[in-house]
Amino acid sequence: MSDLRTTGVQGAMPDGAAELLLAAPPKPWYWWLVSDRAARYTARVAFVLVWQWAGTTFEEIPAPTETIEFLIEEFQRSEVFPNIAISLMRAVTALSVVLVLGISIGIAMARWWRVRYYLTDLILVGITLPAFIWALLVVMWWGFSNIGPIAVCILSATPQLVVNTFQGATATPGKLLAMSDAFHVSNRRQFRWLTIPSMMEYIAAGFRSAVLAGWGAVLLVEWFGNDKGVGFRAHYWYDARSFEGMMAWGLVMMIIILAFDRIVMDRVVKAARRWRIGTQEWSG
Amino acid sequence: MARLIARDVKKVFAPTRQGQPPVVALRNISFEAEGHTFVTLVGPSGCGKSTFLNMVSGIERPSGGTLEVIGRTEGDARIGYVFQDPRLLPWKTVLQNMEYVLDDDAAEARSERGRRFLDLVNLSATAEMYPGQLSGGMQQRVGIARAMSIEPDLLLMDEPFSHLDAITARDLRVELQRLWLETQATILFVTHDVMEAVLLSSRVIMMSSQGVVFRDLDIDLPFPRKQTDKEVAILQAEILELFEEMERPMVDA
Repeated sequence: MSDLRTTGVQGAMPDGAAELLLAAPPKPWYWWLVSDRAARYTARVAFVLVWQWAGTTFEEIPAPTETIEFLIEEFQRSEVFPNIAISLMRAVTALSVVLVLGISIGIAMARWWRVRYYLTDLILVGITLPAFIWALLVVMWWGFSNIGPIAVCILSATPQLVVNTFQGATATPGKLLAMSDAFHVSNRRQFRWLTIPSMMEYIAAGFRSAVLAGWGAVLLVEWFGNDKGVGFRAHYWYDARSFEGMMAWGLVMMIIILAFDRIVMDRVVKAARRWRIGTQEWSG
Repeated sequence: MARLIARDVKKVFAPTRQGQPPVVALRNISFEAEGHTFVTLVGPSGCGKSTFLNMVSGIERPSGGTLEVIGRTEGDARIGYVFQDPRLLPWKTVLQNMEYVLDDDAAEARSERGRRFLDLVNLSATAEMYPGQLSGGMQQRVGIARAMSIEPDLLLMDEPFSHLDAITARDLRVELQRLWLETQATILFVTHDVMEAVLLSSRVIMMSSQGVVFRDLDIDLPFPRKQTDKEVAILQAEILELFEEMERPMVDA
């Protein structure tokens, strides 16, 4: 064990030296202002303050208090949870399909050159085509139904995940693949132990972009051509010339995406990077 | 233990770009090795030593000639491979890296075997660590344990100590001699370090930069050997002289 890398202190030392070296330095009185947590909360408070200032200065911008009051009224009209539930159902359904399609296509493009050449241009078109074009098309094709938002979400978000998965699959270390072949490791185990873990960070990053693109697409279709959902409700208040209504539902959209990012995506990314973090702690 | 038969083995790499000539890595390699023997291919960089090992392992195919490895039992011979770099999965623990190459059906059996061979290289305490938490020498020892754990008929080793510092490499050479004497394995070792070849091998095959066998020498010294043994130094000097002789026509030209 003598050649273990550690960040600790080894060997003979004067009494108390190890404690001195290992002790954390004292925190200054203003640490809560300069810590990472303080930075996050400061940004949030500053955002609300700027918003409040803008709300009181410009008539067209509703202040936070007015927006919250409006949201409470919507809640009392039983509009908040049913519309959120419908939008979330559409987004979750579509993003589940995106996850399966995006990873499969990305791996297939990396594995088989024919698939790569067939799909490269299509994926490029998928990334560059604005979601509102799809939104208008699906409204014309399917009218007011669940199919439209789900289809546009899949069309807009899948290319994002495909590109990242493809990059991850081509980045699988060739030396580790050769090692696996030399030891005759089965394809199934290679896929589970080598291919997928080596791609996890790429997949997580791709899925994060896909969720942002997909959520935007669902809201857009709901806005353009639907009679339920968060996007529809925002459009409803837009037609009614209610700035508070639009701002309130805009706030709902932001809170949902931020909550998903913090609660789900942060954990997925952390899990994908766990081994790396463990390694950094040791190698100092 | 295994029997390795190489007859007129050639390897030509096709050009990767238009206008490039094909690269001849090996012209004509023939030799046999059998039983509890430690054979080292020694030669300058680019003489095709590693390519030959890759072909024996099945990672690459020969362009001509035949290569055959006959194991103890019927069917494919079991071949272990220790690479220049450890080639461990960085996101898996040391024990999981051992289990990765094992084909026992039961997970407990894989785990037990993995731990047993980690113990053989005195690394059982690191089983639950990630490779990045170990020093380079420890990672290479895991690579050796991993190759040993499949109980190979033939163990291939491609300059396994070349990336390590001199002291760690010296310790690992001592450890490798012990393991070889304990396991009765057939080892095919590749190095460009003549001292390492003399220290470890029962037989040294000298390769020229043209990809052919120049000399096939038996090293008749008792094991275990030390770097400081006079006989090792004398043999090293003799082999270096042979390399000078091999290179002389090229230098003169």
